[in-house]
Amino acid sequence: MRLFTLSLCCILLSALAVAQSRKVTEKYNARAEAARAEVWGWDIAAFNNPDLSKIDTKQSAVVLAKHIDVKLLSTKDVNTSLIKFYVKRDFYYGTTVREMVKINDKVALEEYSQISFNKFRTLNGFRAKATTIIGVRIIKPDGTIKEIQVDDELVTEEDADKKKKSKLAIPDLQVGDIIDYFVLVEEMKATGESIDKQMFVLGDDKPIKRYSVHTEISDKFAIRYTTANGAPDFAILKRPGETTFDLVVSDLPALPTQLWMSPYRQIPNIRMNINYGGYSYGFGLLVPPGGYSRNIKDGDVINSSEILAKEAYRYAGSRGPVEYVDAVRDMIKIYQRDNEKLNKDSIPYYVYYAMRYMVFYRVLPQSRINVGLARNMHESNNMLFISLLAFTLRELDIKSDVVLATNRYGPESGELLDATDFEFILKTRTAKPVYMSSAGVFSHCNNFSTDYEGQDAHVTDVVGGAQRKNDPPFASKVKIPYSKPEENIRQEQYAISLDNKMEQLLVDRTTTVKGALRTAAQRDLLLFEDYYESERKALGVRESFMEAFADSRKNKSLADEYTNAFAEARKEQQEAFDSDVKDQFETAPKAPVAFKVRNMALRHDQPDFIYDTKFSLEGFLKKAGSSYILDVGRLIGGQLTIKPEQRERKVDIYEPFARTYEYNIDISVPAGYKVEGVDKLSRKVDNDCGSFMVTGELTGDKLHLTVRKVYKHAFEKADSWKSMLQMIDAAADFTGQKVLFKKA
Amino acid sequence: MAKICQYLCLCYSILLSNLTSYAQNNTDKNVVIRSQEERYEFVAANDAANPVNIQQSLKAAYVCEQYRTTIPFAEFYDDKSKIEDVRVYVDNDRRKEVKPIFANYSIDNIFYSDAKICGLQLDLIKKGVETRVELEKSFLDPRYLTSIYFSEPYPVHSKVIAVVVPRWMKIEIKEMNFGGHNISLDKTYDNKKDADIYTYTATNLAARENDAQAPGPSYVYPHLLMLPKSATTSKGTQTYFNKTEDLYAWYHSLVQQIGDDEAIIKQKALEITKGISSDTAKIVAVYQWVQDNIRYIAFEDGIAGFKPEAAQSVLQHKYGDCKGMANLTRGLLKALGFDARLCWIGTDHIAYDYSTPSMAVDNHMICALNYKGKRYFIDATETYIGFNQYAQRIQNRQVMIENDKSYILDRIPDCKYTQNTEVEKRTLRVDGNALVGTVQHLWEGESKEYLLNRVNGTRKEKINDAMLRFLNDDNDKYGITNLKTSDVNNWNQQLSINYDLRYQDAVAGFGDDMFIEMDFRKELSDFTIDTTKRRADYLFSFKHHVRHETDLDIPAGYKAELPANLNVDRDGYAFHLTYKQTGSKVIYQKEIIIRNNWLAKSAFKQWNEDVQLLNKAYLEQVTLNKK
Repeated sequence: MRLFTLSLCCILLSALAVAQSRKVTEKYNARAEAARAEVWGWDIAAFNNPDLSKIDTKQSAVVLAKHIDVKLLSTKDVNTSLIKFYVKRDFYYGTTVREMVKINDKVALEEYSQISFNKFRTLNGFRAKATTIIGVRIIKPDGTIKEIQVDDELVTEEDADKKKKSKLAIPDLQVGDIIDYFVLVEEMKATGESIDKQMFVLGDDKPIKRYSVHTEISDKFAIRYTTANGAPDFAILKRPGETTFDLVVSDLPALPTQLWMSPYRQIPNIRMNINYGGYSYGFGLLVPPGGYSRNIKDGDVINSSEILAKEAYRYAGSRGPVEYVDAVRDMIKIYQRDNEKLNKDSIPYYVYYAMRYMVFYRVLPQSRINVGLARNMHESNNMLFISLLAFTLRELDIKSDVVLATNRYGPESGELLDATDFEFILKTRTAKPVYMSSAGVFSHCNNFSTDYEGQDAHVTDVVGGAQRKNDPPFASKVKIPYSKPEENIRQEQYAISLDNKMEQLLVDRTTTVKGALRTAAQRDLLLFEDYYESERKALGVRESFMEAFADSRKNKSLADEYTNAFAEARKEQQEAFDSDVKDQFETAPKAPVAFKVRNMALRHDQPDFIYDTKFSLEGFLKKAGSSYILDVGRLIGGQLTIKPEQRERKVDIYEPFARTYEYNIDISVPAGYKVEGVDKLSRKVDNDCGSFMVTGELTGDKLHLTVRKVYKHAFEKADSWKSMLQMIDAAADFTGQKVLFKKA
Repeated sequence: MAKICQYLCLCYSILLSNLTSYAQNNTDKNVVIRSQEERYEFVAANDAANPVNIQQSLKAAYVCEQYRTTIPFAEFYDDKSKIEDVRVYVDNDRRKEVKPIFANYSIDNIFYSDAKICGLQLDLIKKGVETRVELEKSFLDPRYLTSIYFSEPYPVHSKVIAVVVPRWMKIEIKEMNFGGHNISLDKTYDNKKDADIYTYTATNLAARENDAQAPGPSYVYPHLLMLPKSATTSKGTQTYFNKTEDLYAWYHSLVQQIGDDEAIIKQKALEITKGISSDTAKIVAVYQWVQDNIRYIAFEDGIAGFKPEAAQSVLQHKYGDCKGMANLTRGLLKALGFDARLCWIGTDHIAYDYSTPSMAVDNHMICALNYKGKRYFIDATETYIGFNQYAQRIQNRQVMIENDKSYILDRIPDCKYTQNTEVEKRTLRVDGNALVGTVQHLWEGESKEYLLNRVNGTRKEKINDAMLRFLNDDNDKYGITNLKTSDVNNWNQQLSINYDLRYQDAVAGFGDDMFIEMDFRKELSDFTIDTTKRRADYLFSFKHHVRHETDLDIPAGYKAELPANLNVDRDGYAFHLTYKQTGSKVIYQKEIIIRNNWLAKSAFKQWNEDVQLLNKAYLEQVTLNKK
């Protein structure tokens, strides 16, 4: 009987679940139908009467119209179909993106032929969920409009409690058609929940004939927005209980190029933050509910960044993170006990490297075994890292200030919106300030990321506290300098001889990598086992984790396991050096590369990464009767070539940093041969943007070649593109150069 | 101290917010399966639709032999199978906190599939300590358990597969690829269950490899092919695939349910062939229309994975999977009065043919056309291949052709490499340090299909530049002008491209001598195979045939010194590079033939030696000396 009752309950419950599911589907379908009717009914001429007369049919696709509609409304202000569908909460948040696109080729057909979306997705918050509704219409070349019955065509990719994911293959879509589709994401939200930042980008990889935005925001919210790179301002209308923001722009060309761009600084865009209630700073109210503020003053963003820095600093001192601080202090004590006392100037450096050790190098028994090259890629939360440094230094009686710097690849001063637009750098309040930031496995103390170069940065004393009499002079602004091309340099020194069969080049190579080029090379090639041991010793850590494990009965076996993992990592390192040669010469070495790291460049006082490699290469010597031709130009490796469509450029050039590539090549002329063609090797292109210079000379039986390619600046105006091309083309041209070893 | 460690770990995880995956790969064979036991038992079910189920139980013990790590574990299931329970034990302690994740499994290039995955992260906590997964799974229908593999992603020390077959269940178990493996069979009878128990024990199995361009697993790894014949239970007798006829009968029953609307299809067929009078032209027009207008989208969804979509539906949607496209092609051709049939086929990824009655035999559907005593095969999923040309993946494969209640077995032609010939002819002269002249290219078969796929995969505004960069191999000195291309929208003819060439700096002049490299493309150079890493045979995508000729005018007052010829001729491939002087011309000819797209491991050493010879030959220069 009990079994029967239980079975009955199960059946009833399952029937209830099915009924509920059906009810949800019915409600969804009703809501979707209403939403489609509303969107298709928008009174926007670009959609209702698209201008088909001037479509560029040479483009893969042309966006005839794009409209973004954002609604953030009190639930009392939304229509009934919404209220019926959703659990009523404090406000409704809906974003619709509608696009009408002319499909001109199969690539565009493929791009627009499928849509995958989350029909339902649960959010943080009681019964909170986001729903996505899509609508699709196809306009055939003869003008007939076919609306896709989306619900009939959908397949369900995932049907879980937290997410229902659906997929639609657009039927009857062909080259020559126009697809008119929208995606509406809507949520019911409570007052405490955050609103995603809106970003309106006035550009795409295809031309846009008309781009428009309409937002309706309830007066319960405060708005802050920033227009950047010449984006026009919204037309703003205050209505009872809400404010609308409208924007219309026409004929946006396809984005010009992807090479050396900084989209945040070059593509017109508007970024908008929406906050429930007002925006406040401390006790001051910046934007009241129902108000808005455009093009925020940098000062306001600095203020909120200061709050963030202070909070992070406070967190660094809290239970948990402060253990790192204590650990570093203990390391200093032991170091000073075993070595000489650190002078005050050295302490920031010790603290930086000790904290780096704690975060990236230290191994605990419960750590996962991870000693391969993937470990080199680790990065930390920069804000927390510098806060821990600041807290530790403060404990050691060294105060620090925080430098707020914009990123060259992010928004610039004057176009800032919030604290995330700044990078945070620590600056010790000492006679010789020490800068700390960008923590990674190989980051150096007192070394800026090149992303901040050339930026006017603000210095805040919120972490270090008010200036005291004995403090060094305080400047609230600093200009972060550009690094010079000779600081970011890769130098290659080759001693090359030919094998007896005249088939292979035998190469002895020394590579020195400096400055901003250094970290990438270290990440590719260095082994945890080596740099761990080097830093452990430098920091005066008495016992390595391997020694500790070996001495521990509990963890003894771990030492064996790490020994095995190290052996595996060494194989990986060998492959990395083989790849290093292959990448440089675009030819795989004939046998495993012999290598030796001369200087790992783990610290600012030994900054150059230097390693030796020895290997042989085939394919550079070509037999020509009794003579041999050497592809001497290929010894500098593959060079950047500019695609035809990139040769015209009207936008400024954001290079990563100024840099130099230098090759000193000595080639032994084989006995019995004389070398011809050396006179044709030398060349010199030197202009304001860069240079490419080659000198070749024959001394005895040695052909000596020096090649130097310099990118002089991190930033160039678009006008300089021709000068850039001269240098780039000269380097690419050189790769085809040859010399002849002629039988004497 | 423990608390401090916990804090530090927490902070560490906060600090290291941008980590990439911790896991190192298993190249060192760190992880092994010490033992794996799988049991498959056929059981009668109280379900008229599925009267026989299979209960699977699995116990796999993983061990790290060098250092502790974390590995993924995955078991697949679908609408015809379900995972009943998963349990994890570490060092024999049940770990209830390790919860499996059940999710849809998305497969590249498949739009929708009913495949699902049950995934776990297994911690191997210490060298030598076992982590064990126990799993129960059931199959609703014996037809869907087509094979049981012995090999795993990790080396297996010992694996036992027991198959419990009650005597009311008739099944053939075929042992596949057992050669070279240590696998034994013990057959016993269980009185109580009235069942035969087949117990296979395998030891020291190598891990599965992930080599690219490798044969499908059914060619390589030891496995049991499960061929259920029939079952007699209280629900009666259920016939599965006793013989190939049964397989066909099931396929045919699905085809009978399609429900094509012949009127709609006929109207479309007439529209496509309007104004065309010859039969062949009509056939080609239909084929090309389906290739060009129906997007291939793959579905693998229960019965929909076997039953073609109705032709009018595919027509309306303008997309379909292979079955839908084959059925539409058949419908259009039939509407025009041609004898077109559906064909089931296993591509070259599958080792079996229809002598084995199993759903594992095929994975594809095409259309056959009987016309004037000859049979042609049409596969519209190959978007840019011409009529009566065949993609490598279906060549020489057995096809099952519908023939009302019976079927016909036939084979797709095994095309020669000449189907895919690509020709380049250059007529050049020396102009300063440049070579100047004209170039003609022709592509056929799969080489043409490859190129057209690239062209149509490039955005319209970038096609010209992309084409130039394809032809000049990204070498800006290989200057191309006056580019003329044949109709890229008609792949039933050769694709031709002609252009004028100015190859700057191609002539190396030293003193009175000039040196010229006659080969620009150097196909297969450095195409050696790393025998230390590769375990699988190598499959070329198709049989290649490259014919190249460069005619170079010898400048007045010069004489030519020519490199030696190269002639390599093996069973599966050939490289011929020849230089000759005819009058005042140097003629360089190259022919590269891949006769057999399947390069066996045993041929790797010879292949590498031959590629070295080719590399060396490519480096030789023509010398022009002043007389």
